Amino acid sequence: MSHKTIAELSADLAQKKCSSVELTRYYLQRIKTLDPLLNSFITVTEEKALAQAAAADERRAKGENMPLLGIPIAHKDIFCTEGIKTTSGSKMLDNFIAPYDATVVTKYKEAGVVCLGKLNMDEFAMGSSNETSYYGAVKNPWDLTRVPGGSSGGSSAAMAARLAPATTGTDTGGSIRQPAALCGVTGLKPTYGRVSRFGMIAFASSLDQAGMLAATAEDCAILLNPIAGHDPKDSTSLDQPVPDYTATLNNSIGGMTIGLPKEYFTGEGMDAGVTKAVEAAIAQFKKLGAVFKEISLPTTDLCVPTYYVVAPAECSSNLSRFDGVRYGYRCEDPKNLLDLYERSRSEGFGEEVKRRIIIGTYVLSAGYYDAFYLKAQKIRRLISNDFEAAFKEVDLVLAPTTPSTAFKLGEKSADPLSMYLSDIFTISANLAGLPAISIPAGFAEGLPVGVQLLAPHFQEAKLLNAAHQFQQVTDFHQKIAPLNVE
Amino acid sequence: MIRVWQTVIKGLLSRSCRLIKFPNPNLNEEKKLANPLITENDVRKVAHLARLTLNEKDIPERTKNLVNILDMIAHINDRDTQNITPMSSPFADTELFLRDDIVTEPNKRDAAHLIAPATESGLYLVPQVID
Repeated sequence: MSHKTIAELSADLAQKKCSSVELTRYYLQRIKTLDPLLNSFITVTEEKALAQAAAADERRAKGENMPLLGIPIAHKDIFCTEGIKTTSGSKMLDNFIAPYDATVVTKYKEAGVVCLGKLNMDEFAMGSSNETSYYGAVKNPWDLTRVPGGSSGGSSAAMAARLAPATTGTDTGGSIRQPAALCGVTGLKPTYGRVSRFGMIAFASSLDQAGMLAATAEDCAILLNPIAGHDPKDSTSLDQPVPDYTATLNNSIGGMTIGLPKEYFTGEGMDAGVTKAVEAAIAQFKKLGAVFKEISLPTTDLCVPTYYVVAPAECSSNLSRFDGVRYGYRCEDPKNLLDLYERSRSEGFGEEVKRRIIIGTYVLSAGYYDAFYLKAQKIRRLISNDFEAAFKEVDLVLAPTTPSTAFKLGEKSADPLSMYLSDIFTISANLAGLPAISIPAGFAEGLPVGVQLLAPHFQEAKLLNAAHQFQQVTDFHQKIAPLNVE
Repeated sequence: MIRVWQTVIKGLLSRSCRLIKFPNPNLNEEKKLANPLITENDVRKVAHLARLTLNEKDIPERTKNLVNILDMIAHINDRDTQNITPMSSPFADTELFLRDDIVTEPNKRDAAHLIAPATESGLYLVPQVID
């Protein structure tokens, strides 16, 4: 059962080959058996999941037949879930029971999705290895001595071990695509504004975007359908038409033009195994009829520096809400109000979060605002302009998702700069607000490699179409990490 | 990946910084240390502004990390951005949706107070601020 996609499980439910309760019990058992090896879940909601599954079975018995009705998934612990602990991977929110659901959670509930629990993540989504979580590091199911990527590391590890048939994630600088690549699963970051951010604990509001990790592009399409669209509770969610993302999956990609940014393919900096897999993916796309063209994204070298101004600046502002007064962690016996603020925040936040708050406060401070924050916003415009020009020539852009395969636990945790550079290929999509997908493209020394496709704003259907066609002629996405309970 | 970055840095190092306030990356380590983008005292000050207290013994290492990060960030000043409009978000130029100014949510004060560290008579409690 763990090898089945959501599309297949949905068909099984519709044909009454299994019930949602049986499916949910199956995944709960897998979590119980395998997650002690991975640490991918922070909270498992067994009772609620079984109740939701029973309700879904009743709805199916009454004739309802929505594709996700009765499908169990797990949410990244950044999405508020009413009545269920929502921690964002932080001690600061270890006692936080959300009083409402995120819009993504609400929409999945309406679609009949069963929630298996909440997934581990880098603290407040700040990290690329899932090592900054208050709840401990997550292990990569392909090699338990390696990281699963981050910040959606619980989501990618759980998905790779098939502890759920799909998971939700968020992507601020690559936090869906990088872990998807390192764990050999498919991860979609939609266009900024395509999916509501309401109830998603904010890190950097102009970059954060909700998405999903699944086995296939087809499953991502099925999962995107109910959550895409405008939400009156999020003024940055745009009121654009929402197509049926499954409708165009089988279109031919013959004649589709895919750009290869010359700045990403300098022949240096990437692991040989990654280069080989990316080249093989390009050859495969060519066989499918895609036409490749070299393009230039001249501001590529400034993506990482720009991101590390914009994201910490927004983080320092967003995280100022955690003050020990209204919710979350409060220090013991505060001497006065300042002591309450300072000790609650200092004891509640982890090291990486504090580092980013300090960077953000610094770049926003008087005397540095113009030189750093305003300047970064101007460079951001150049980065966006680069893509705008590129998409006049090509339909999609192809790039490696990561420069290397999964690195060892602890390998980069002492050197924040080296960790930041893990996201060198993913950050530009967030700065420009573009949709992007990472798909499994092979293995290097037994570890998964991902390749990334980027599209113009709101062209998720085109991304999913190309990714689906690739997955019709490859089988990397069918490989499951060698942890077995059956 | 490190090699990619080294290539990028190498290219950047050959250019001079446009803003006089930034240390020239071509300076040798000794001079760079004498003119860093952030000092230990700056770190203490910024932490206070952000309402964070730092362990004094961690400040040297923390400052060293921040100097490295800010050195990397400062390269944004190597690119000419004259006449470029700042971009605060991907759709900053698009008119965003605004709701009608009417009440749509019920009062959820009691639910909000259930998760508060300390409340009394419908108010959040904090240490006394006025004698």
